[in-house]
Amino acid sequence: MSLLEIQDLRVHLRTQGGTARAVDGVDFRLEEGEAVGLVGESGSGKTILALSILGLLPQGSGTILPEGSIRFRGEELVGMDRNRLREIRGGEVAMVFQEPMTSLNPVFTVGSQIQEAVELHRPLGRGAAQAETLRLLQEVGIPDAGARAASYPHQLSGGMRQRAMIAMALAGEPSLLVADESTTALDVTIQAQILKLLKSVQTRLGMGLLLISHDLSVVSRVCDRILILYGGRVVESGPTREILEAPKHPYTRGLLGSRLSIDDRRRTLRPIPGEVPEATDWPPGCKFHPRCQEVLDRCHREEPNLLPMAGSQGAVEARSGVPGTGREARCWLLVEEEVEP
Amino acid sequence: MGSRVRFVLPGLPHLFRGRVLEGGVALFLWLGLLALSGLRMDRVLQAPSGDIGDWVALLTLLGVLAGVWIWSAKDEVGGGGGAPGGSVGSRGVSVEGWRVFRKDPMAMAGLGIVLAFYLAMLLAPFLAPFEPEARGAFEVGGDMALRLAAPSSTHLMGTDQYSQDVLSRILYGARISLTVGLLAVGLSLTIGVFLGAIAGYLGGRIDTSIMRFVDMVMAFPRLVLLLAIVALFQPSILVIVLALAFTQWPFTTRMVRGEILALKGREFSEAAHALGFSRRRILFMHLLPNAMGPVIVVATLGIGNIILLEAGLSFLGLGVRASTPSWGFMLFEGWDYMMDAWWVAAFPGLAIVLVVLAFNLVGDGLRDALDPRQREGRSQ
Repeated sequence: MSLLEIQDLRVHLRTQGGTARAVDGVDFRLEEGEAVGLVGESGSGKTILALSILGLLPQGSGTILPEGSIRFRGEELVGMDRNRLREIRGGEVAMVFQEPMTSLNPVFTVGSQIQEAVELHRPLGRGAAQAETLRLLQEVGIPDAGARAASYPHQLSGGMRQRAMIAMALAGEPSLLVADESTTALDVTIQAQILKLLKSVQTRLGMGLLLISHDLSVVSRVCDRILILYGGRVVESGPTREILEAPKHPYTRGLLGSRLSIDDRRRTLRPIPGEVPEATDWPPGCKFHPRCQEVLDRCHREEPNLLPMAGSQGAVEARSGVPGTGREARCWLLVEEEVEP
Repeated sequence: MGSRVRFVLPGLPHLFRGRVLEGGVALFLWLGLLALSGLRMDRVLQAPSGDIGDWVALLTLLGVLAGVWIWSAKDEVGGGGGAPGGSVGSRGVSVEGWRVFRKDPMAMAGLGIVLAFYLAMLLAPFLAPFEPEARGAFEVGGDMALRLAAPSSTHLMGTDQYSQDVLSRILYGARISLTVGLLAVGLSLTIGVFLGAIAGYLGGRIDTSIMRFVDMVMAFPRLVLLLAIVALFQPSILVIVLALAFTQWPFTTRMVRGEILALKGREFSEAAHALGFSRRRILFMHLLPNAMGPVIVVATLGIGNIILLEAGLSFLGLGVRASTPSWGFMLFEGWDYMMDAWWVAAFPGLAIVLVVLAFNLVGDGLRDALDPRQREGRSQ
């Protein structure tokens, strides 16, 4: 049984411009203690995907229909009873958000906020919870934890606040941590520290980690495996090294081409032309074809399936052999290659 | 030698060390109250056998004296001259706000006036030179000799048409005017904050029904609605308080709803959800404390407004009818003698103006002090 298993997840939002297919049939698995990266541009559906795991999709006017299946240790989360879902949130699946500046409540001290989360999820007395709060602050590398616990959020720097947010997420001893663009708002140096912290905490506690980012280089530093998301679908997946060294999908190649590199100064930036279309009107056929530079006739008409790649050396695929963990890509080029030569 | 002074004259050492405000207030309270109990010793000693008002006055007197003395003794021992709350590391929102507030002279003056009025109200039995019902006949022995007497050294604010001392009646009358304000605002806050929070947070049909009801109440001219309610029932204190609260809560509801609407979209609210907190807990424990700043401001301004409304109702003859009337009623009664004896109406009117003005000053000061944008700039 996987820690997290998502099958054919679809999230459709009713907006004024029509029904937006934000997540449009995503499958993947995340094993215990595994770090998986989810990469895509803004509008690719990655945040909606993350929110639907915790059942946090905005309710109300713009009704959202999550369909498909999200199983956490075999337990179905879609349509789950609200009370049980609340136990899972923070207790077994925790989330770290993007904006450390606004994710903490400005009127309470950092310590009291962490302690509140500890007391919610663990049967500890007041004193023990307080000790645990200090331990968590030390765990996430906050120096002088006692004094910092008594600080208000506005007295801390962005990096410190994000560390505090991570401490709060760890308060319930979760087995899966979802980090949604958690380092995007930080300086690069701080970003590196926080990534290192996430990685070390993840290995030490044996947690699963789902790291969501638009930045391939951020994800590749921490994750064992990467999923590339485009148009609410996985377009390529595989072990980090293989994705970086031998990208199969033109979109992945585009993402790699638009990265800056210090090592290779002569390399010019090659951004992907155009932008992600509105989720209300995806083009027919392959969703990427209007921006693709290697487009075929077929791409205009039919959308390809996720194709398993032969000869993959991925460690994870060897472990299970189940779909959604190995090396896969969604592109007609790969089919043509096999047929033509 | 200087260290002993603080036990005899609390506040004096502070005065000399440049903390004029604290020292001055403490010294003034200490000397003033001691002088009061000395001058009215008989009245103070009678208090234990008196009514509730006397008891309250006695406890207030002893409480304030003890408070000043303990503050002086403790502050000196612990401090050695540093400003209170001087630890830089953990300065709370309220402490931060207070620092802004105390730099605002108008707001501090307002606060001083408000506190002085409430203290005078509590100490009325000792402060008032006469019983509020006592007719001038008592004193001189002549029938209506002191009817509408001009202000003099015996009657600082003169007497009214029944030869009653105006100053004493103002002091006793404060009980109604000032408590009605507090009670009505307290009640309207409770209702308003609760309904506003629920409407803003839950939205949808609940929001719509609450807010349409709010609109309905607000659609009536306030004074007309008040007159209708009071005319329907006998105007007792309870009815007046309920009627005032009923016309006040929609303003609070509307404001709290707006605050909560803005807050629930903030990331920390989403983060609290992701941590597994219940919706009730998020609303009342996480969001509402963030909305309290503006609520406090509106409440403060509301007290002044309500005191004014109560005075207006009394002036129209629909106020509380008690043995000691409220200021508004005194104004109403004094109206007839305005040409011959201005003091009968002028002093109650002045009291109303002062208190309402003071509450508005405090409210404005609080608005500045609790404004998060100002605070944000200051903390950097």
